[in-house]
Amino acid sequence: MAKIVVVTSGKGGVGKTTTSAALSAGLATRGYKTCVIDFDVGLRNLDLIMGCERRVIYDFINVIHGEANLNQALIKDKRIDNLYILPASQTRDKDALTTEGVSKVLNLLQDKFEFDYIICDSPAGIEKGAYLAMHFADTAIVVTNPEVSSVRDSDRILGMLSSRTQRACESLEPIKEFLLLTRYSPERVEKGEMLSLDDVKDILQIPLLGVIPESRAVLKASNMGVPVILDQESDAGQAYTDAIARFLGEDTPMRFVDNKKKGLLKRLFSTRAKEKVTT
Amino acid sequence: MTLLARLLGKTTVAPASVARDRLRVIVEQTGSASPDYLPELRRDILDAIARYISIPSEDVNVTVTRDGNEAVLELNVALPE
Ligand SMILES: Nc1ncnc2c1ncn2[C@@H]1O[C@H](COP(=O)(O)OP(=O)(O)O)[C@@H](O)[C@H]1O
Ligand SMILES: [Mg+2]
Repeated sequence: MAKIVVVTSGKGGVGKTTTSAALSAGLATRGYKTCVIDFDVGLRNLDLIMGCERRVIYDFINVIHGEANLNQALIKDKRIDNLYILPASQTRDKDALTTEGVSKVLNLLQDKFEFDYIICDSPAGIEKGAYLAMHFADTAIVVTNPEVSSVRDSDRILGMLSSRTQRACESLEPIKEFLLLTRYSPERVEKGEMLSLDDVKDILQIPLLGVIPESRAVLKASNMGVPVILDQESDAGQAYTDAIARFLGEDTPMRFVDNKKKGLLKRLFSTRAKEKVTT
Repeated sequence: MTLLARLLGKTTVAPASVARDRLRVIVEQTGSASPDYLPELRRDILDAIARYISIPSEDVNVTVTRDGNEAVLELNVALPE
């Protein structure tokens, strides 16, 4: 049965949608039938990042309200087999989402459409939209920037994950939580201008899925409507590929965490962050 | 793209100009200048067209353009060969 994964953060603008696009495209490329859902009702964005904005006819809310069926609303990606997008509504607000409605759609995607992964791109905040995006999840990816307000919001979200999800409410096996540190700049960390990976790991205390560097490739990808993971020449694209390998239980060394401009000797003696995660 | 690049037949398009074109389409179809019934109207038009021919949804453009106090509803359908 499909695993439900929420990409969440509390804070806005940290890279949830960028990550949802990369994760879903990466999993589909690896052969898993994957659906990515935009939960940001009223401010849909995922369709733009995936480059399918002109193909949106029906949306998540239409399906919940029975105005369209899933076959009509799911958009099949043109570049990658196995990849489908369920866009959010642009004209409604988050109150149009209901627990029963979301549950109904997720069940259909699991049972009738037989997806392997369902990725839920959460809106910012801790209100209804964010709550419903996480409520049915088996796994949470907490996207965090190395910045105080983002880390505090992530901590807040971890609290919600452990108390307000279905798994918590029904005392099932707890939701699996992973940290994805994005917009990381090793140069700035070295200069002492930015929280380091170790600082953030220490504070949040959840397994690390990966570190995505601050990268110009992300803006380029969003301009073009192509998930950045498809740009395999870019550092961010490669970092997302590594993170997905770890998500699938593979052991991959962390890249893009050390300052490249460091001297050779220093580099030789620095220890590499290595961690194995399983989902 | 610079003139030179164009003369040399380079076909790579600048990301920013792709972004500009994509946004122009969105703003015409669903932006604040267009009436909010437009998405639904587009849907109904698509349904009607689908009864006769099968074409991808992105080949149907429904836009409203305003010129002074006149508004024009434009339907543009790229028919398959
Ligand atoms: N690794 C990165 N490097 C540079 N810019 C990034 C990176 N990740 C995200 N961004 C930029 O940050 C902004 C917010 O990203 P987005 O994915 O929309 O965040 P969210 O969904 O959390 O609001 C966007 O402008 C995006 O291009
Ligand atoms: Mg977003």
